[in-house]
Amino acid sequence: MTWKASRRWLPAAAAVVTCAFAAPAAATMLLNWDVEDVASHADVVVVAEIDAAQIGWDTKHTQIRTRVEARVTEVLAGSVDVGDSLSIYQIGGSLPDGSALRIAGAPQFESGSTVVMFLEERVTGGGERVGDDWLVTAAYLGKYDLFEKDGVPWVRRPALMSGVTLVESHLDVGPQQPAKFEMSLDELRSRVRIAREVRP
Amino acid sequence: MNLLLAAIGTSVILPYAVIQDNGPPACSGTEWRWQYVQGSSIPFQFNNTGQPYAGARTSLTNSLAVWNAVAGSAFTWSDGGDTTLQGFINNGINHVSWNDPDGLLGAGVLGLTGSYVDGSTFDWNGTTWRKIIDTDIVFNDGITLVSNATAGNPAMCDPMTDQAYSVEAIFLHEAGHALGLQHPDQCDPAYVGGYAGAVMYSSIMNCDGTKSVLQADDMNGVSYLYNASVPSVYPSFDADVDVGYSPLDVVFTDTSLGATSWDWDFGDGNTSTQQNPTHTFTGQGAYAVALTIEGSIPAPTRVISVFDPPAVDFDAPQTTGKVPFTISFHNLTTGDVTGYSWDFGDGNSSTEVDPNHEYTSAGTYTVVLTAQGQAGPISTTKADYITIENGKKGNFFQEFLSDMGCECAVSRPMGRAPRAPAVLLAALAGLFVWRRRRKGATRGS
Repeated sequence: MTWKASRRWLPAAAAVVTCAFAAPAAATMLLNWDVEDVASHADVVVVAEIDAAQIGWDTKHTQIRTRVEARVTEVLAGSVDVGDSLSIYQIGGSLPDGSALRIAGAPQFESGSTVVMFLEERVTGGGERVGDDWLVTAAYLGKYDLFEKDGVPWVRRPALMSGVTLVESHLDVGPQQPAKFEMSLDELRSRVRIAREVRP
Repeated sequence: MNLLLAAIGTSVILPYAVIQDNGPPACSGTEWRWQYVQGSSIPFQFNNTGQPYAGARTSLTNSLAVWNAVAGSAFTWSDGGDTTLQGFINNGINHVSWNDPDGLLGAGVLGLTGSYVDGSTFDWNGTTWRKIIDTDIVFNDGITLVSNATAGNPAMCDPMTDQAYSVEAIFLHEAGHALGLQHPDQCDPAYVGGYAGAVMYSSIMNCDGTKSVLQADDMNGVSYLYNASVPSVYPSFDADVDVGYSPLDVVFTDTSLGATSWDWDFGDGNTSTQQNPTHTFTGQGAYAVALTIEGSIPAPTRVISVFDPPAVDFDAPQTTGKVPFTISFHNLTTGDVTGYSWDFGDGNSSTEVDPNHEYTSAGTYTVVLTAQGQAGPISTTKADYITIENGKKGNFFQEFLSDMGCECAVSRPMGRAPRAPAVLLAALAGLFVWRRRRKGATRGS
């Protein structure tokens, strides 16, 4: 499915772009990755502003999907440039008529917000690159909200999302310590840089 | 806990309709609830005992085959490549994608279950609910999934994680969600991480031979529901047919847990106390069949749909003739019919309502008319209905020439009508003969 080919996508609400998936009966199993794990699997790590999102059916009218447009303001890792517009694609979403595809653990976006995203190129199970689409690596573990604390930028992500099962991983990347859900942006930058340097 | 652990290892049928009936007991406010239109009891079964490792996909496919044998619960299956789903999402198709064919899962996601809800709400037990109409399960192609994850087998381990993930366990987990089972935190946050006796879990085998943890969240999983819901006595039954024409004989098979007596209500005013009764439904209607056994909680009914059969009939004004001969069939069928199929007995067929059919060979033909009714096709056969004989039809020009005393003949292939050029030629020849004779007669007179 390509975005341009679809005529079924609907514009999201103008003010708030929300992909509210944390509903019961949806479930996602994620490897319990920390920053280093996610960074080592991502193709790019960026700070970006969320411009807009569209939610709609795929071309076969079998699945509701969401596309988020984001503009890069800082590149922490990977081959994209500041000012690039990235198209982030994910399964699920809620339509204006109330019908929805609920996906637990999907990252949530709000238009106008600034976030840190760990992104990977969207590739099918057959290994084909899909347009210029990007996926958020490790679902909600790969997206941090930016906020200000004591005059300096900080980031945070949810510790746990409803419906998500975190499966312990033995990946030997980075320090083996409990995940931090909140840190300064500088600390995140540093951890991403180190993780990328030791990336297998 | 013991029940589901047993399900993984020893092939157990779970009457999860109980879960459907009870719902998550501690939930409040607006919640989501799984519902299927049909089915009082759907087997959830893994046949893993003693099964050698023959591929995770085969194992899962077999599991799905068991599942799909029950109406209302079908999962479609795609094994990589594109998802060729048929129809729209609200047709209730639950789809399992093995290989993340559309590239929707990022790294680190083992699998997910997405639940589709429609826009409407309904009230139940004083709470507003929304109906889940469909579920999709997607496995990540980047994850090494194996059947019956075995410790100490590097070939079965994920090089990225040094672990192997049991596809049955993950599917059990995700399919549990597809059935409406929830993590406890989705129902009551007080249970997060603090509820023992879990049964819904993901199996992870480390390559050093140790088994990884059962995740607290998973462990809490359905125990909350199963422990509260699965009784030692529970009514459950199968029917050999759900839809048919009146009179419809239906064989009911008891699959209850712990039943010692049976009280059947067929929904048409008739009852039975047999364990496996056969009942004949007469007259069109949707009959909600219920089985009650002593000491059990109520069970959902199973609806048997019975339709009055269409009266399929036909005739033809003329049923005999000589080749070639065209028969005009008249369809006399009455009732609710969506289409027809004719078998003319000579290898030809038609889907017209009132077809004309030309028989080109001599013989006796049996004609079958099949009508597509609400409960399936229904046919009427008229044996040896059409008789076609060899022989020439009357030919005006042949007779004309013969009358003129001409011994010539208009030849044409046997069994074929004279064509226009032949007719014209015969007319000219007849005119020529007639004029010569007339001239001769004039000269001789």
